Amino acid sequence: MADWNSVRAEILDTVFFNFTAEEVEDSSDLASDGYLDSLAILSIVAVIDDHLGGEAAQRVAQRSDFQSLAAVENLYHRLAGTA
Amino acid sequence: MTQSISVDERIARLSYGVRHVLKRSGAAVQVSGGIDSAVTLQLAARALGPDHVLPLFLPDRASASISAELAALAAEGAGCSLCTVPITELVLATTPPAEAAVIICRYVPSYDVEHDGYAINIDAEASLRLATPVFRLHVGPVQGQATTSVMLRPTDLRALMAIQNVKQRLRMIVAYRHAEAHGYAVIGASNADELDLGFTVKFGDDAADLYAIADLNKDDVRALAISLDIPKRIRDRPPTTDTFTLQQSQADYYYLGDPSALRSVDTHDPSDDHDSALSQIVSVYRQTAHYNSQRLRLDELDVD
Repeated sequence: MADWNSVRAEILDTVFFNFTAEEVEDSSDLASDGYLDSLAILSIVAVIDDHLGGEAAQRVAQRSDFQSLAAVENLYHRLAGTA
Repeated sequence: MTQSISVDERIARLSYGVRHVLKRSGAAVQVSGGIDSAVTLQLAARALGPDHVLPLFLPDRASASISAELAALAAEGAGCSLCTVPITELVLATTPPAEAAVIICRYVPSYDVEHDGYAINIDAEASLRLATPVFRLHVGPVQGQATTSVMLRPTDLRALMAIQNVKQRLRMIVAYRHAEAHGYAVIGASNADELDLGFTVKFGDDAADLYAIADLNKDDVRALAISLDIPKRIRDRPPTTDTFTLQQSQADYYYLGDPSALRSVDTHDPSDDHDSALSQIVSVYRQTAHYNSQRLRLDELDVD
């Protein structure tokens, strides 16, 4: 199983490629700040499910899990059982 | 009924628009067997005379058999001769089924391009939970019901939608080819729900010289259809996409039910989670509509 750092790197690389890591890390509201579009949420879901195997993120993730990169990290740890 | 333009005024404007603004002698209308195109065709025939209106039925292998029957009924009701131009060969030449099959087989290895069909439908539960449109791939026997359903990766969703959108754009090409040959304009049948919520393919089914019912939502179109004596069989047909090789209604694909629920979202309670999620989905849809209607010019871009 991958660790959060590799998941984070893949999310930054494949989803937030138009922005710097600092911009994304500093945002407390990714949608309002314009970093998150509709397919971005699904892309993050796909990255997490790829790393964890199965479809847990598809089935249980909530909108609030994509509020910030920290919220995404919490989602990952919750699903990975490492929270 | 909330129509702001009377039927007579609508017919007069259509006539004026085609003859005096577009300076064309008649009109071509794509007919699908659905209520929107039947209403548009009827308006055009009354405005320009049936002899100056060309109803075009452009089926492919995904078109339901009932579509041909209802398209013919719409043309007959308008007093026009239906022109049927199958586009199956065009679709096969530009988007071979094997291209979509490669993607689909990653999710459903048993997918058989000869016997199976597919559709992309909105997943209401996941969409409302994530407050963003979530689509799922459905697979089953051609023109039948889905037997398998999986969530697509965004890259694969984009690829499949790009393949499907070719069909609407091919129809646009064929429509203009016939319209121009006659010196006609193309009259669009997109309604206000579709244009407001982005349920169109850019340069596809949204492409027309004049839009006859762009100000009317689906309920208004239904009311207008009654006053125009559109046959009940056409009025009662559930709105379909006629796009994929599985059975699919517009609600299955896009609207999460009746479009009126999405249209009225602005009046919902923003503190309610369901309404809030719906509102965000509508916001995404309206961005799509904005993109579809944009003709960006570099000299007009506001650059930060």
